[in-house]
Amino acid sequence: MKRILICLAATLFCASVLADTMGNPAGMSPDTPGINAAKPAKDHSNIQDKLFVRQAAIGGRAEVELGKLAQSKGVDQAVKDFGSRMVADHGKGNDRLMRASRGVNAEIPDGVDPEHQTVRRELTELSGADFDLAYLASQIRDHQKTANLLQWHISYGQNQPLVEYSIQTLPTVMGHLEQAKLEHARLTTAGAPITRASD
Amino acid sequence: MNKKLFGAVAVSAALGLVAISRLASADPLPPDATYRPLPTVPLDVVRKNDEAMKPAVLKRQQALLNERYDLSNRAMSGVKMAGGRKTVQDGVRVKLKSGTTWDSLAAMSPGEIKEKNLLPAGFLPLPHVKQLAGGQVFPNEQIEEIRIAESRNLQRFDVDFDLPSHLTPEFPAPIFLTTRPELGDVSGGKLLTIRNYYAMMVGIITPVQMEGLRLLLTPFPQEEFNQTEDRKVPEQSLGVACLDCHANFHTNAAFHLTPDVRPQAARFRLDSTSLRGMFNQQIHGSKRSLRSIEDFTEFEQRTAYFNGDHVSATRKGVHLPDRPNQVAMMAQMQNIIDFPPAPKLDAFNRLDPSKASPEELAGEKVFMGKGRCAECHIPALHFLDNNMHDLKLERFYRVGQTFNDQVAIPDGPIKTFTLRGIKDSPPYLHDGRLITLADTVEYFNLVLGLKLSEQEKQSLVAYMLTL
Repeated sequence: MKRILICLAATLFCASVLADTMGNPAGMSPDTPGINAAKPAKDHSNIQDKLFVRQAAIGGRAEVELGKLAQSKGVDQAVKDFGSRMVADHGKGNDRLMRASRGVNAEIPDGVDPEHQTVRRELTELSGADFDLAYLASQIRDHQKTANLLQWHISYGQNQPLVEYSIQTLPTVMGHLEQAKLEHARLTTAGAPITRASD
Repeated sequence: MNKKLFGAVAVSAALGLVAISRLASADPLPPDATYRPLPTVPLDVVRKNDEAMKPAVLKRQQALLNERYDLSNRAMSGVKMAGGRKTVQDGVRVKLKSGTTWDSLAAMSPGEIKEKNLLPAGFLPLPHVKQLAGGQVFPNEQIEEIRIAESRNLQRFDVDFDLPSHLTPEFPAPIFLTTRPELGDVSGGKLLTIRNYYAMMVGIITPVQMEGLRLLLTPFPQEEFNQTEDRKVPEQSLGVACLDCHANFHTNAAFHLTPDVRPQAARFRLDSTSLRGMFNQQIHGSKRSLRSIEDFTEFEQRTAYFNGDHVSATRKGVHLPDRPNQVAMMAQMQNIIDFPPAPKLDAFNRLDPSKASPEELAGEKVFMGKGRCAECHIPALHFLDNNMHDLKLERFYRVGQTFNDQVAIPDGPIKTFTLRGIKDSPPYLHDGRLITLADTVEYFNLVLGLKLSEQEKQSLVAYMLTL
């Protein structure tokens, strides 16, 4: 609990100073409200914010869908658990994203995107250990992509609640990526004990 | 059907599934994830915004530095840098998290330190003073000297240098030449500039070296200092010179962001490296491992000057030195820069027992043995191994946390830096995250799991002061 409080305090500290210093001049657009008064509006959103919400929502939704698939089709217990973690973490993450992006007015397509439809179809055709490996491989790709998306948004986003969302979410996503890499390595390295990142 | 063609078709068919996935995954990030965006706001508005934000930017960075380090001026008595103009700073400056000691940390596993969030924040990557803008930031001494000597402005309107001057190298640094070792420091206590270099060096260096020196002192357009609207100085600028950061072929602690990582938030800070001892260094660039000083000199116009973005460089006016002539001369000038004298070292950079103190000798023993320093910093190779190593600091902290807009990602392999003359070049590590030599001892004690005693740590510092 103490740790959570410290993390929360650190986050609040970041958020309070963030407000004063946000905005990369190289990326600021001329229609930023307040720009001419040298006080860009704090709740303003730019095109990077809008694109971020779209991509993050698509990715988050797919993680939940594929996580459910892993819960039912996974063979290795760690793969099933990873799927459950994805359903739980990304489910919560998607809700937080929707709250943080109020007012950003981003367009989010319905349903699972074509890329993840393909991935889901490919995974559905596999079973056993083949499924486990293919699922983890797709999770490594997806989390690489999401980590890059978040880092890019932290670099160029201007909407304060949304940038805070990205800052808070990135360590979790990078933790997922690390876990997916470790489990994948474990399943492809017969017999050899794999050290976890936290050891 | 010919057999080869049939084979190709069969392989394509087998790969069909994969090919579909590849097509479907064409959903990349926008170009600003890799390339510098074109400015869309007029310079006067950018400047007004930047100047209005500047106090908060500087305050935020000072808060981070004060949270991580003891920045006070505590000089070591009697220990000066090679020119005798600045004292070396004493003590461990990285602050511990409350409830820990250096010994209690050393007794914990990396996983436990990570789990309990106990890694001293000063061991984490150090953000740029304004990470999202990035770019070159010069210390005030350099800005003032160049203003006086050349009427050229190195002062940005959006940021100031963030470290106090007692924590940076002496300025101007002395210059030692391998070709004229009998002379000692040839700087005369002055900063080399395009206005004075000839008179300072005629009769000491060759015509080829002189021309190399002229080019190294000539300003060329750079990302923040140029003639376009995308700059951080009020007036159109002639640019910067190589030796604006590598002042007197050493370093003035000017910093930048690595050109080798994207996106912007993930780029690590770069503390300018000294050019002393370049003649023995086989790989160049903390990440790029370029194989000659010629390669590095040529490519710095793409990297130090333009962040590894040749597209932006083309618009702002890139200088591409002619390889067989200009680059060669610039390289030859850099290759005659010597380390400062180290009278206690023998020809193989080992301590001469007749000159060294018992504590220094004890420090060398730790350096060669329990401390494992010499596994990479090999004395006979001028404390280099011409390799890159990954210390895997991420075993100790949760990656992906953001500090002042910088995302802390693993450092990955970084080249080994020399330790000759090391007391002259604070701050330490590639990004300058460590303030003193005592900080480096605590850092490596933890990262390598050495469990050094207090006495061993102190002897290591004493030893490094002799180098």
